[in-house]
Amino acid sequence: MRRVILAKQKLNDLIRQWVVERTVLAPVKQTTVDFEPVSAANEICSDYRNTRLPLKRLFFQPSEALLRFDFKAAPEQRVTEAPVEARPTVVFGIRPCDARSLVLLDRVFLGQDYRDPYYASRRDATAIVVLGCSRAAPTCFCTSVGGGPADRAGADLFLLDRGDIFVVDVITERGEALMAGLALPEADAETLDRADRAVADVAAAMTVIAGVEQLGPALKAAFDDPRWQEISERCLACAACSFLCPTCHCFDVQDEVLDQKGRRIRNWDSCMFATFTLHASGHNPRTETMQRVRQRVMHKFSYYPENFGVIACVGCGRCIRACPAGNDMRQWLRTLAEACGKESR
Amino acid sequence: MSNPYLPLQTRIEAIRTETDDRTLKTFFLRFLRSEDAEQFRYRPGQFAEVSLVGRGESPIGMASSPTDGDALAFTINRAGIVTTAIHNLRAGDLLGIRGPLGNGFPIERLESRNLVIIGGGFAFTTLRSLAAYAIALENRPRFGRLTVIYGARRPGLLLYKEELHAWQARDDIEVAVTVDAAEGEWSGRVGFVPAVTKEVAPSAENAIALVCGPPVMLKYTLPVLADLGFAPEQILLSLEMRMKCGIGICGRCNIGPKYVCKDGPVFSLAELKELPSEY
Amino acid sequence: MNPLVAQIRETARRLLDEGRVDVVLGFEAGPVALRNAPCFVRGAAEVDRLTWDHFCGLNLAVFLNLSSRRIGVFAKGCDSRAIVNLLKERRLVRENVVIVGVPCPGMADRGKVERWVDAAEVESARLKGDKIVVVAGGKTFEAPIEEMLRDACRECAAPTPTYYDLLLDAEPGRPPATVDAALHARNEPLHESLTTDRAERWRRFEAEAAKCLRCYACRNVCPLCYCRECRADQSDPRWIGTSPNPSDNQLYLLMRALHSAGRCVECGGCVEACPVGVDVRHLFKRLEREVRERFGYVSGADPNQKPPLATFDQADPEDFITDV
Repeated sequence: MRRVILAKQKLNDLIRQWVVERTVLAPVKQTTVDFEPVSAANEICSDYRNTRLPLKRLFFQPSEALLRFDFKAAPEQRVTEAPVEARPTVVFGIRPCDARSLVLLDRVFLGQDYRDPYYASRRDATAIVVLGCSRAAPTCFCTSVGGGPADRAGADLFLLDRGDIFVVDVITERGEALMAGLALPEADAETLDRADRAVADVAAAMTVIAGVEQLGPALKAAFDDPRWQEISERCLACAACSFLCPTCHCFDVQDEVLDQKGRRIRNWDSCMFATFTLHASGHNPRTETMQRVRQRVMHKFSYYPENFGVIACVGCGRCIRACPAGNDMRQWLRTLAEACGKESR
Repeated sequence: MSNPYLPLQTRIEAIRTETDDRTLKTFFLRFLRSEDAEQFRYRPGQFAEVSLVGRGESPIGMASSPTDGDALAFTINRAGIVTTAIHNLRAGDLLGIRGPLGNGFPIERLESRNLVIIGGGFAFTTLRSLAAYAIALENRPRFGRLTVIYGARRPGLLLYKEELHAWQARDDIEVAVTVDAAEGEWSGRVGFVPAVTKEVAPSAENAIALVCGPPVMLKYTLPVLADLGFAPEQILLSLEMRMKCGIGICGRCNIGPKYVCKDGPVFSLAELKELPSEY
Repeated sequence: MNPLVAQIRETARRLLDEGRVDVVLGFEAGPVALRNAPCFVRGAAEVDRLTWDHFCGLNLAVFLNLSSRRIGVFAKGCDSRAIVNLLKERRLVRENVVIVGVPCPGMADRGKVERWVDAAEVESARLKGDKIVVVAGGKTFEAPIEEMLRDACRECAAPTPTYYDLLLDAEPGRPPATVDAALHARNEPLHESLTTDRAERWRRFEAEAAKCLRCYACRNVCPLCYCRECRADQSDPRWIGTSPNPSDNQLYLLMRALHSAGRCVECGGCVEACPVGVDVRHLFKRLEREVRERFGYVSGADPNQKPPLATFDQADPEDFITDV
């Protein structure tokens, strides 16, 4: 891995180079800050913590066609795969938490037995340029769940903002390809040291909810603890948290038909919805909000870790900001850690 | 890797109405393309997402056994939008299949053992697949004693009547068919499945019990098996769950760390006890 | 600190000590700025969690639906109106709820604040007299709180509850507040959307609906959206598609507005709850105006007044369907 210096005034050259053959997405400020296509560096919002919406929607869209039907076609052509538009893309300025979420989603969508071609083709066509964090937002808790402001997970390039310059870690081959044609000086030891220490300070200043990474098995034992009821008391069972969460990935499949044509569509869904597990027979294993809150928390902090070894939450805090009823995942985790008998600071 | 969301087309060869209230029909399907047929290698206990484009999909257990030949059979209960639409199809219509999905019965674990197959209502379909598989000429020597206990609420709701009748005449499989209540000319057994299980009293020695049925049947049958000496590891169940993708991604059938569509639907009672009872 | 806070805490303590309720529902400091969290207090020792200020916008009646607990709730004007409607619709047993009316100073609109600070991350917000002081993106902003209130609050016809068991901060001898329909009409701006041409109105609605993700936060936060099986979720028949496409989104929003006609208490909670800023409040307001003008009925004002859309009267005008 090389670590080079990119002067900020040269960023535009880089963007202009990328834009020739790729779509470049970067945080743009409109009423909120969200990823939008840009063609010049001055369109990029330079002062933001994180985007309102997570980037999962680029690879796992809120609503997308999987299949197309044509009832007038011959039987063997009646059902076809919906084409996936996967233009080469660079995502510039994604935060470490969101980049990490992509790695977590990869384990689901790009499994050993089944590979989701829609997610895969977009993911394969996209380069990820991560911007490390200079400041944590009040709702950030990445360092409690295995991440951090300097986490390089999922990054092809990793940038640290040092005022006039970026320190750029060129991590993968795809990252190298992005930097092709630019002769950038290697970063000197002092610059690197200062940059690394600055971001380490950001991490150190964050409050850590102790014991979250070890909660998994203990949560299973606490499955019937009354504190689940306590933490879900003010949950309204909407999907604001799930839809804004970078790692939530449940989806529904619906067939929609108009005249002689139709599509099989996949839509974002949420285990928080009352009808999520409703059987055609009318039986529903999770009728109570508490059961669904528990399922969501357990999936992220116990079940997924049991299967993949890491927590399926990146601590971005969007759920806390989004919740209309004041629910706070950090508070839930502290309460549950208590229930499991683990100390938390 | 092929697109796991794309159903393969089959044509309905025949439809057999199983029950007198017409809520259960068995659909016999044949792939349009022979290469799809060749690649569709399944085990008893697996299922497929039966896909009616324009309506949706339904996860249905394989009723046919791989030993039955090329045609696939699914016994479908008319429950909701998709299954009702499937029930309205006729022979010659097209139906999509995605699969085979799920883990199926662990055939390797069942070899050399006595199998006690207990089914209630329309949950019997994948058990039928297993029984047919086990008594097929080439397979029979691999298994020990075969006992089938199958019950429905009343005679008109029994599945596979002719086949069961034929099996009852065989001496390489013991079949006890029962109904909760007799009607018409029924001269067979009358009694609930748990009671019949107790009466038939299969030995737990070197045996595996495979149980599929409605919750109330399981509730009363499992203790009978426990009394007979079946350990939780010796009892296999097949779970029903709401599903969508069928391949362990969409999250709908997630219970504990398992996905019923991928890690199941067959679980031992011991495994189920580890899972939250959210099914 | 707002003087009402002491009254709220004292009242909560009293209600619990006297055993009149099992739980008291109010607000406590929330995890994020500008938005306090609903707070369930079960013992006198916890009452000091309760607070009161311009960040208590959630309509607490949403937690009362079919509640079997005996609950004391600190109700703003809109909360109280929602409770009146829940009582009319038999979603609440009157004896189970003690309504403690709290005069509402108007609630902050987080979207407005975020636009004011130019989309910087809000780190903290506090009130300083009649000003709101916000720290966002490392900078400090100050403005009269008036400017940051929800439009729904600025147009509110009944900030002080008109239906209650107890009213805090009540001056002895002061006549009880009533829902002022005239105030309604005066405060309601001549909505831009009502004066522009139809194509422009549709374009604006289309733009809002296109943002919708169908997370149903708006529906779930609304005290009057309580159907066990929402029509939007029903699959047989499938009234509207579940996909977040423009057409089905439009249907969902229109359907919710129509189903809320005569029932909406115009608290603006739906707008506040939406994670992507969909604002179709004007549809709901328009329908409430229709109901007021056609039936002389103000949603949530009078528990004895029957809801017009659930009542049949021989004298109802029939000037639009038949000519009998």
